[in-house]
Amino acid sequence: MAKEKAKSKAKSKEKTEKAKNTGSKIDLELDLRGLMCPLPMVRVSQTITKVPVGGVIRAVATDPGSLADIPSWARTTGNEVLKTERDGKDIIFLVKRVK
Amino acid sequence: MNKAELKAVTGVLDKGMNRQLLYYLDVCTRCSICKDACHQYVSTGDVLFLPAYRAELIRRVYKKYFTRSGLFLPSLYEGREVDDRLLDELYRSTYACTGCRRCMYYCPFSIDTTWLLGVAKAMLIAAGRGAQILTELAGAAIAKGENIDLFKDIMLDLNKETEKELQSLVNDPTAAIPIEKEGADILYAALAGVHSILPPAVIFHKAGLNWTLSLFESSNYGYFLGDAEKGRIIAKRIVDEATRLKVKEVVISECGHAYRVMQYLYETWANEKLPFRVTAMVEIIARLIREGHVEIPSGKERKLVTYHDPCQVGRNAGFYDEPRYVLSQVASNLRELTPNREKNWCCGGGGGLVAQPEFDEFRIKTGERKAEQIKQTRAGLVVSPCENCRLQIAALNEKYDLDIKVTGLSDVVANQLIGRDIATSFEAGQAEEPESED
Amino acid sequence: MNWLSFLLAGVLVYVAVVAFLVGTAFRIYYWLKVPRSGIKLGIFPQTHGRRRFVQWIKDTFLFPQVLDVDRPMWLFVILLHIGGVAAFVGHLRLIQEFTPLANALGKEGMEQFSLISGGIVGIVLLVSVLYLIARRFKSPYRDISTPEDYFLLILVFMVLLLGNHLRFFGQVDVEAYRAYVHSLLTFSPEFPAELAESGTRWVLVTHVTFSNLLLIYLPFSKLVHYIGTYAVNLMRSEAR
Repeated sequence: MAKEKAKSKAKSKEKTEKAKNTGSKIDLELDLRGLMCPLPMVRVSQTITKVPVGGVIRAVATDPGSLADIPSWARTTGNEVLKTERDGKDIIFLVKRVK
Repeated sequence: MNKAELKAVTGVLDKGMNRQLLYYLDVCTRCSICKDACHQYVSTGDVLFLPAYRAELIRRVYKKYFTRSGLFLPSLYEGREVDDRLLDELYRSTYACTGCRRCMYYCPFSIDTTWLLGVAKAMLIAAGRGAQILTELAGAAIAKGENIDLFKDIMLDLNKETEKELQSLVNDPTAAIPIEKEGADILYAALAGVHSILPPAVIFHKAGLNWTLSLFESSNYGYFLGDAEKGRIIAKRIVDEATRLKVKEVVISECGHAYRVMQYLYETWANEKLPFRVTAMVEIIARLIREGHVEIPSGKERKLVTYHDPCQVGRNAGFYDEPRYVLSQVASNLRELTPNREKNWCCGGGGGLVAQPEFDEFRIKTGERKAEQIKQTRAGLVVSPCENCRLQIAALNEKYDLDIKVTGLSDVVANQLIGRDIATSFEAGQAEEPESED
Repeated sequence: MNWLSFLLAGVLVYVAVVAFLVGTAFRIYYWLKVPRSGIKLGIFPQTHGRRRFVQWIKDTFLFPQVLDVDRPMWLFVILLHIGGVAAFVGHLRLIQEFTPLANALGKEGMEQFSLISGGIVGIVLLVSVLYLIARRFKSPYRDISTPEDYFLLILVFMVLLLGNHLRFFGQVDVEAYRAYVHSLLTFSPEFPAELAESGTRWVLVTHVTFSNLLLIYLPFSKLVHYIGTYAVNLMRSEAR
């Protein structure tokens, strides 16, 4: 178990680099791994007000429900998911605060 | 609050009036016997959470605006204006309620407090004060339904992976998790997450059922929000899918309120008859075992196990014997909580509370009864067929040092079927990385 | 009868009875006029058929679940309701003597029986209502009580207090009360001489007045559960 955790931590560092390379400026990192539906969406919703309008949150979740939840949430709240990508078990969202 | 807003709020009581509600508004004597029934009142001592008082808030508005006696003599009933203070109180007392209906069990007039709180929620929504997170969750669920084609590919991709895990678990490369299979007998509405898909998939596979997995999650935040229209649209996603695929039966995952919505509320909300049978997961597992469709291998778990009756599965749906029967097939040492069945205490996480961070502290505090009950059994494994309960009990485990594991009914059965320890979790990626399982 | 007695112990009695009956009918009409939601609110376990009927009667008249959470309340509420029915039945003797019982016990024996049973019922009722009043003043009951609750309790308390006064301190023979009740039944309210000249008369007039007020208010108050309880307790076992 501990071994696995360490491994995924290492992985996530790699990914942070990757995301930064895509060009978007990240204002806030959000680790939502291990959280189950609907909590990833809830956390994103709660955190979005902590970045300025135009700011971007990079959220990493493992809950497959978030794949549809977070983009759908963005649609109804008028925010924007810039990018959704999968990396192994991780699902990475770049969410931009629009208003 | 201007006149139009006020009218919108009080109008809910007017337009939303129904006979059941009127009875409840009229017969309560404020005897407050319900005070000892409510886990939230018992642990906080705050009158705001006393069921009769929660109802009384609505009654005072009703008396003030809609009864002649209340119009002439509002002070006799403490009739109340709809103002910010009232709405604040209403919000706290209403959205805090887990909807367990334990107070209804003890009420000498059998008053269903949640029925009154349904109106309170509608009033709050009319005032633009519906719980924010629940509104967003309901909105997201509706948006998912409207844009399902956008998500389909990625969901099917994901399902392929889950399918592989199933194949490895049951050691059968032909095992499948069909999606959108027309002519299937059963549509299974899971929750998002493999933990809610894999265990039933194992059971269905072993039973050789002709089933298909729903694209939509069974949970319904429109119901928690108290917005019947949103609730209807969210549930309709599954109804439409089931109708399109011509299934005979819709099985609802181990999620208490989802079953209640589909079985008891949807037909009235939508004013239509469902063309299929609605079954709870606990019900179908019991049926499959009883009818011999799945054979439980011998070698029952001997460690102490306890069962928590979720309010929406027990008191509000009547499944008391089915889960106990199923558990008796896989574990030989079941110790009941005291009290249990229709008198069981709510875990404290229902009603969408686990999804609302504003209630985090509150639900841990008001879960003390449940924690105490679990502690008394000395069981190391708590089985409960409701996602809300499991999330809450897991949180209680941490805060009250219960040293337990919490799991679902299909989990323990599926584990027994594939020869694993019944408390093993079904997580994503187990099949890919078997070495991490130690 | 002087004009005040005529008003309070005469005219008002008719007003009260009519208000009670019409009010009750009005409440039922008003309930039935409102459309019913199709959602079934029953809780489980559910009973069906004849067992459902038995369950309904039990829930309505005995509410056994309350024993789990509040035994004193259960006891006093049951006593209050049984006492209320007993008191009502006892008063019927003023319309028509319970002949078989009176024959069996003899005139003296019947008086004795009436004194003891009526006395016990009166005391039990008074104690029960005092319990409810005291309970109202305690938190959290006080926090959710409205003036309506106190008003009703005071009405009931006054009716009982004055009724007990008549029973224990009144010097008037049952025949005189019977004559008064008969005068009401024949729509010519009058006090017989024995009553009219006695000081007890004012206690009687006040007892009757409070009873009238209670009767008038009953259908419009929370005590409308005397008819509502059947409907709500039936909803408890409503199946889909």
